[in-house]
Amino acid sequence: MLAFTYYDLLAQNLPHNADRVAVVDGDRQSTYGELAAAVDRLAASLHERGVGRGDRVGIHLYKSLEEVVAMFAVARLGAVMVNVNYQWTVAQLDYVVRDCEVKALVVDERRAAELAKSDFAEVGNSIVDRAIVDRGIIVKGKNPQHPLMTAWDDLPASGPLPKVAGIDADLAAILYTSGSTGLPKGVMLSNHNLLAGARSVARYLGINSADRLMSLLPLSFDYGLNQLNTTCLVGGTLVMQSVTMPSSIVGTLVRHNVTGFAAVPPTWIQVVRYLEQVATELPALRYITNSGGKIPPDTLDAMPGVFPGVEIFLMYGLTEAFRSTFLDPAKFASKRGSMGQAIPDVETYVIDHGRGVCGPGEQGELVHRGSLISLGYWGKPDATAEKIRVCPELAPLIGDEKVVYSGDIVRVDDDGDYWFVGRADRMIKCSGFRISPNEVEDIVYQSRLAADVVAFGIDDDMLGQVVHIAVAPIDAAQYDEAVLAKYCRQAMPHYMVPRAIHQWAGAMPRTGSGKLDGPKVIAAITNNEIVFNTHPEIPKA
Amino acid sequence: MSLTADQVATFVADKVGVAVSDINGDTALFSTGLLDSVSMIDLIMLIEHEARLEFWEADVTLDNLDSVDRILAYVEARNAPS
Repeated sequence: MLAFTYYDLLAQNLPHNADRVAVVDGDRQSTYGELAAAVDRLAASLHERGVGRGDRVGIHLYKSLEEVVAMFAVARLGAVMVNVNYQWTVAQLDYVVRDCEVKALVVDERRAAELAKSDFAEVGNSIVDRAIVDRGIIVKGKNPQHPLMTAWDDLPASGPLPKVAGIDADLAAILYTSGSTGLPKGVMLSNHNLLAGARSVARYLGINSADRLMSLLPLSFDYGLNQLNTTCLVGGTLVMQSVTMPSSIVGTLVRHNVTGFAAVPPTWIQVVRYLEQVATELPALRYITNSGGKIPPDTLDAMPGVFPGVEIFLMYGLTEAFRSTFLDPAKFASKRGSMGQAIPDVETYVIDHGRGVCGPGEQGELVHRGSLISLGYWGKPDATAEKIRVCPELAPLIGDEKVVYSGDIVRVDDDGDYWFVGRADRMIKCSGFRISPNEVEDIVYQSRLAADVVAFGIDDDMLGQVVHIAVAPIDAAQYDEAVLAKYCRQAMPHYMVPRAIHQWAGAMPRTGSGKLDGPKVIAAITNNEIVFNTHPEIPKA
Repeated sequence: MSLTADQVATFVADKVGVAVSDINGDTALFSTGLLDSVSMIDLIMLIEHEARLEFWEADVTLDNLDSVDRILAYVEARNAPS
């Protein structure tokens, strides 16, 4: 059968592949047939609760077989999966629930207990009592006995299911991601986007039914989601890896004969160091891929040595366009660090605004064209119109067709390969996560300890960038940096927590129009013009 | 300087936003997703700083790091005179 919808990616395996192993999760495994049966069971319960086509269903689970079941169960109903990163706080989950009006949730017992308890001081926890989540909450594990919650294990074994509905243009998934401004935005991906992304990547990685891909990255992240999608597209096997320690990762690569492994730079740094100390043969491993940032040069240099005979793909993508470029592994030795060129069925251009399309030796903003372009941001037509728009410089080539503006500045070399130069805006990227400085600043303001705050990124060997903040206290005499640091640790996901808080004496400088002069503040700090107060509880390496 | 159970439990409780008393000696830290990879790097830095030792990459395992008790046992073994 030809796949049109996300659910078809699973269903197309049933006629001929039902007995093949689809997912391995620790000591458990599930064939395509078993996976489809589990999907039907959960889908019937969601259907009974009133979840139908177009409804958003939040999935907030620690990486597991159940996360995959939940995703396809939602897709089975023509509903929209909203995978929320497990590292996110209750307050962030609450934000997502309100932002795209999540009708039902699938969570694990730890998060369910947090939701059921009402001692979260800030905005959180009204979430389960709200009218929004009116179709119920399914809990993997122990049910905290909340009236809206039902334990997954207590769901009936079967129930009536509607006919599989939907077309490829339907909204299939919303992935939340940060930009340079404001709160996280929900990127809307259609069935077509997801399938086109899987086909493109499966083609250039040469993925087939014999492949066993490791799923280490969150399924709430486009790059991580695509490991599941490509696996199902070709009838291969996905090996779930929830623990991020290098010893555990390498153990899984060996034990499960993993053939393809995708990760982000901090993981490569640790895994390469581990393999340098503990030489390990990985005969099954065929290829590895990196995305989510640049790998430091010394790690890149060591990769061919610790992964002999393994193809190394350096990739680049942004959620709004799913996936964009990769470097041909044959060029790895001569061009390590390059982002390469457009993936199959995608075109990319580098634009010098107001001047035209860049050629060799020039640099400009990367724009992306093709069927992977998302439907935009949920409920934010203005932000969508800014990100996905007609490119005047490309009018002679593609007329009024819209492209995605990446915000990434790249340089084009003589072969047409791209090299990352920097961001066109203030966005911070830590360990593959996009962080908006505004979001950090908003949370710091909520502490009521800061009169002025500026958040910015500082380069970090391990994580790419880390967040620093400059703070002008409301009351300098009463100000206690440890209190602010603790507030941040509780209100932010771990990757967002500032690694340093720089106290600013007096009011911060402002521009002529009265806005905080962020660049001036950042320059003063990075040029060491003011005293550096490092975070008291995180010692400097 | 040496690393205490209280320091580790306080670190974890702060990261996760729970009371220190919720973190027992055998509470699983990484195998359940309580702490993530970014926190792991911070935890290793804390251990290296407080226990005055340098982690070998091969020692970054669940056996050595998955609970307060395991961390203290690892530090003790590393600091034992050989």
